[in-house]
This record gives sequence, structure tokens and C-alpha cells, in this order.
Amino acid sequence: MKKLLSLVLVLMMLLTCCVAFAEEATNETNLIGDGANTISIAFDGESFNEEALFGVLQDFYEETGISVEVIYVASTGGWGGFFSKIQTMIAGGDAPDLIRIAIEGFQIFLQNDMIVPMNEYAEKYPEFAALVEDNHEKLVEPFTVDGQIYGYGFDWNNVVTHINTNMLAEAGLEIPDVNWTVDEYLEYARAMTGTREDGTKHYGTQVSTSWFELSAWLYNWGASILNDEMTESTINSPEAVEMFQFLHDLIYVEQVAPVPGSTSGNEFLTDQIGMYFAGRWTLGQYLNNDFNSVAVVYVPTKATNQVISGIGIFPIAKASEKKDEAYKLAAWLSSADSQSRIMSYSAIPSSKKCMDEIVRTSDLPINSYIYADSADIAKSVQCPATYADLQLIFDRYVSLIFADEMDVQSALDACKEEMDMVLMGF
Amino acid sequence: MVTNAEIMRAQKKRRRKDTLSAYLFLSPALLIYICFFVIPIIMVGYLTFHKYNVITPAVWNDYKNFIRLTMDKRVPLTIWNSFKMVLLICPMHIIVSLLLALGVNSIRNRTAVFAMRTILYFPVLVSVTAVALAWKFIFSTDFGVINWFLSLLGCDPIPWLQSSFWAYPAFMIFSLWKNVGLYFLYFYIALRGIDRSILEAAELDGAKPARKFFSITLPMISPTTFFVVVTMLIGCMQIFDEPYILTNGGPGDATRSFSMYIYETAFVSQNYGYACVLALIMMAIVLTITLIQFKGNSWVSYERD
Repeated sequence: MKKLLSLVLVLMMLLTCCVAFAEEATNETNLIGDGANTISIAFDGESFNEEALFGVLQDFYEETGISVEVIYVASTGGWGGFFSKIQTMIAGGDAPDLIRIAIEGFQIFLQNDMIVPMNEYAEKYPEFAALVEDNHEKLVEPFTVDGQIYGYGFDWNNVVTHINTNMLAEAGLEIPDVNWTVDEYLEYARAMTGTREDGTKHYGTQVSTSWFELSAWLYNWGASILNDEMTESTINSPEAVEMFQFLHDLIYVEQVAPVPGSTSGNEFLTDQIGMYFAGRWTLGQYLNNDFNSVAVVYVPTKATNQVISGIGIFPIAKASEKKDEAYKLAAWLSSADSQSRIMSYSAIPSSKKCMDEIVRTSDLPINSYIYADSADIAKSVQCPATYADLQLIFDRYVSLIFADEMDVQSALDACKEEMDMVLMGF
Repeated sequence: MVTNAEIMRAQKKRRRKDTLSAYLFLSPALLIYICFFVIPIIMVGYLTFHKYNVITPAVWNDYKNFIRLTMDKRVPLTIWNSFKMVLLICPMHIIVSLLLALGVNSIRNRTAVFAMRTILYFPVLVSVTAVALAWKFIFSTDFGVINWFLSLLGCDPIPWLQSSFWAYPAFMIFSLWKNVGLYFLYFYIALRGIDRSILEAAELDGAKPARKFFSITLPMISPTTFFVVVTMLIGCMQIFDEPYILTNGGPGDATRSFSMYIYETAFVSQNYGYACVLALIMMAIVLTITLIQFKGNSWVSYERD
């Protein structure tokens, strides 16, 4: 017994050593280049193909002689958690030179004076500025303040309806027109709901719960969470109330959607959910599971068909001591060549050339071209500097509505009241 | 000839040397205590009067954080949620873990005891995050295993994690599975420490099992029970992982614990000043509960003979 215990202890120690060395090896590979002139870039976990990303950074090093240290910042709580970690790094004097941020955090970084405009560097390094000339103009607009550009659109996502074509065929339906209406959507959801012979239940649709996805729905109903100036909440407008009531009724009246929060995210792949709403970020999951029975159409039209956009950029940290080098890398990463190599199925590239080559012609999903087409009509998701606070309030009241514990009007009235308090600075 | 004065001086010198040695031995622990407990507590007190978001320097804002505290309806609600978790989880844990310990302690087969100890303790070793995610799927209203079994019995699906009522039984089930092994082990060790001859003597005197349990076993394991109660109450008051992963505090604020609220205020809203006020409230609550327990511990017997 003692021998066995000793053996276990020795094995554990060996394992610990292996892990320690493995960790060291990972840290080593995070530095691309010789390390003589190094800049750092912070990513929100490993959201891109690491091999492709490192390949792009290696080419950057060979072209410019600038080494790049890639920092993966592990965080919980989505973008909010990541931004919080970056803010802490900056406050701790350990600021990365470049930061990978989504539009959700742009105003937080801008209003806290943590990022700098790129215009000066674009004039200084026209050969690098030329790398991003092909990027879609609409995707730079949200990051342009008083004529100053804070970031070039790198990747972006919208929200579209993903339809399981197996379940569509099972219900005897055809893929609908990409510009379909709310009434048609409801008919499809009803037709795709039922119980199979083996007793398993399947639902026609799934109700969105996140700020981004519900904003897409609200846009189509002619409503929004905030007013255009983002100074006041409009979440309790009659259109918004009607939209939330519609989604609530999908669960409790029509019974064509499961209760939100009760799904694992795999039900679409196992033919238990017929439709749900997301951007292009779920395509990797399809590929990993050899699932290709999927078509996309726009979010159902009510008052209008207004596609939403959420864009990612690489702004330069104000605390960076190597802003020139950081600018070069920001432009390099946002170039068409880099986008085509890094982005396969995680998002929509912001380069028009890449959009045509990668997205428009892709056969996964069916109607993939709408991802590219929607760039022209996309409206940015609303994210003021107080986004983190507003999102918490929004999530609380949305969960009450979809748990059927508060009526829609009362919940949205209370939600507006709390949001307005935050927007007024209380 | 050694004078009294010299003896006194030598004793004093030795005492000083001993004191110095004591401080030297204590210094690593003391340093850690000062760095990670004393200074942070002082900083918390300092920040309660400031507006601070990590990025910009702390700005004095009078008593605004305290004024906000008096108007914040979510504070009493989340504190009550934490108390609810304490009231629901603690008694259940103590009773079930004690029963399990008594059961395992009565088993004579060593292999069976080893197997039972391993099985019961195993969930404690697994990461809460990983198992909570698995339990989230188990509790799923429409696709979960529990509701599937209930449907076989003709029951309607229960919205385990989507209802402000059912979320608490779900926490109880999860918490019991996850943590009972730890408390079981404490009780089991305490039971193993009881001198069998005392129980045998009681048996000879004609004591029935219930009498033996209430008059001998329970008093003799009372220090362990006291330790379990204190640590469990403190732990439950600060419960975070389970509601964060299983329900994210919802629906609404129905299952949001006070710890979760503090975390969100600090690390999501970046309002560290107000979060410090809330943290002080939490400290006061835990301190009060602990003091009450220590004051009312006359039922604890440290007599072993």
C-alpha cells in the first residue's frame, strides 16, 4: 500500500512538472519574432485559429522586424468580463499595446480615455493605411468620432435566422424567402413543433435573450433599447412591448419555443430546435459536428428589415509606448489578406474582397450571401459607455418576462426607469 | 557570586530573545495577514467614501455611496436571498451528512467503507463550474433528464432554473450532491474518534440506540458539529458559484445572492466604491452570525472523558 501511495505521489509530481513545462512552452510560442522590438496584443481567449493568427503575425514580423506577444486574457462574463480585465491590466501599468475589442466596449474605452485615434499614424504610414482601404465603410463609422478613427473594422457579425433544413423537410416546408415576415415565421414555428414517434419533443423555434439578438428583433419592429442619442431608454415603447409580448407568447401561448435557459445549445444540431437567431459565429460548431443542414434568412420583418451589426476592432492603447508599431499591426491585422487567413467561420470579414470570396460564395449555410449583403444596410448595436450596467438591468427584466413572472408592460416600464437612472449618471 | 540584578537582567534578555524569536516565527504568517487582510480591509473602508473605477483615480464623493445604500431595494432582497439559501441548505446538509456518517460508521466491511467514502467525497473534488454546467442540462425544463423521468410518472415539466420558486429546490439538490461529502467526512472522522468502550458501557447499562445517540454520540461530536455549522453558515452566506452558473441570479433577482450583487457592482459595473460599502455590510453580517454562534455555544462539549 505504501509503495502504491509513493508511486501515485511520484506520478503526480511528474505530471505537475509536465504541466509546468507545457505552460512555459505555451508562453514561448506566444512571442512571435526575436523579441528585440516587441509589442503586445490582448485577445479575449482563443477566439481565432491560433495557427492562422500566428502565421499572419510571423509575416508581420518578417516584413517589419516587430515582434508580437499575444496575450490571451481568460475571463468570465463575456465581453464585460474581458473589458474589466483589460481595464485592470491598464490600471496595473501592464497595458497591452493593442486590444481586441468588440463594439460593446468601444465607448467604455473611449470615454475612459484608454485608446487613441489612428489618423496621425495613418498619415505617417500610408503604406499600412492602404492595407485597410478595402474595408467596408459602414463598419468604420461606429468607431469614427469627430473625424478621428479609433479602429478599423476587422470582423463583424449580424443576427440572422438559422433554419434546420432537416426539420423543415420533416414539416414539409421549403426554405422561406430571405425577406420573410413575422406571420410567416410564426407559421413555420408552428409547423415545425411537435412530438416524434419515439416521444422526443421538438420545437419550431427558440427565443433570443441577449442584448445583441433582441436588439436585432427590436430594430425590425421599428423599436430599440435606447434612443438614437443613447441618452434615454425607449425599451417600453409600444412597438417594443408588442415585440416582447410576441416572443413571450411563442413560449407560453403558442408553445412553439422552449423556456429560455433550458437548452444546452446543441438542440439545433440534434433536430430538436427548428430555428434560432445568431450571426456567423455558430458556423464553427456546425463544422465540428459535420452538420450542414442549415439555411439562413433575415430576422423576420415586421415594420422594416433592419439588420444589426456588431464589429470588432484593434484600437491602440493610450498607455502604449510603441504606438507607431501598434498602428502598423492594427492595419496589418485588418487587411484583406489577414482576414482571409484568420477568419474562416467565426465572423464576417470587414474587407469587401473577403466578404465576396469567403462569405458570398460559401455553401455553408444555404443563403450565406445575406451575411455579405447585409453590410450595406447594417445598423450598429447600441452600446453606450454604461453598457455593462444597462445590460445587467436588461438581462434581469428579460429573464422575468421569459420566465412568465412579470407582465411585459410592467417589466419594460421598470426596466426603462432603471436604465434612465444609469444613463443620467445615478 | 551572581547578584539578583544580574539574574533579572539575564532573564529579561532571554525573554526579549524569546519574544524576538516568536515574532520571527510569526512574521511570514503575519506578513501575509497584513498584506491580504488588514490592508485590503483598510482600503475597503477608504474606498467606501470614494467613486472609483480602477482606471481613473479615486474621487471623494462624501457619503453618496451610503445614501445610495439606503435607497437600494436590491440590497435587502439579495441579503434575504442569501439567508434563504442558508436556511434551506445548512440544516439539510447537517442532517444528511450526519446520517451518512452514522451509516458508514456502522459498516464493518473495510472495502465497503472505503468505497462509500470515495463515492461520497468524489463530487467535492470536482470543479463547481464544470459540474454546475452539467447539472444545468440535467435541470433543463424541456430537455432535462429529471423532467424526462417525471414525465414518465405523468408529471408536468418543472421549470427548475427558470422559476423563482423551483430554483431553490434545484440549488438544494445540487448543493447536497456537491458538498455533502465534505461534511460527511468531518462527521465520520468525529465519530471514529469516539471511544467505543463508552458506547459499549452504555449498552451494558441497557441504553437503547436513540439514547446512546442523543446522550453520548451527539455531545461527543458537538465540537465538530459546531465547526461544521460555523463554516457552513459563513460559506452559505457567501454563496456565489451555484447561483452564478445555474441561474445567473434570475429570474430577475430571485436567486441573486448578496455575493453576486457585490461582484456585479464591482467587476461588471466597475463601481468599486459602492461595492466596498456592500462588502462591509457582508462582513458585518458574517461577523454578527459568527459572534452569535460563539456566544451561544454552550451546547458544545469539549469533554472527551
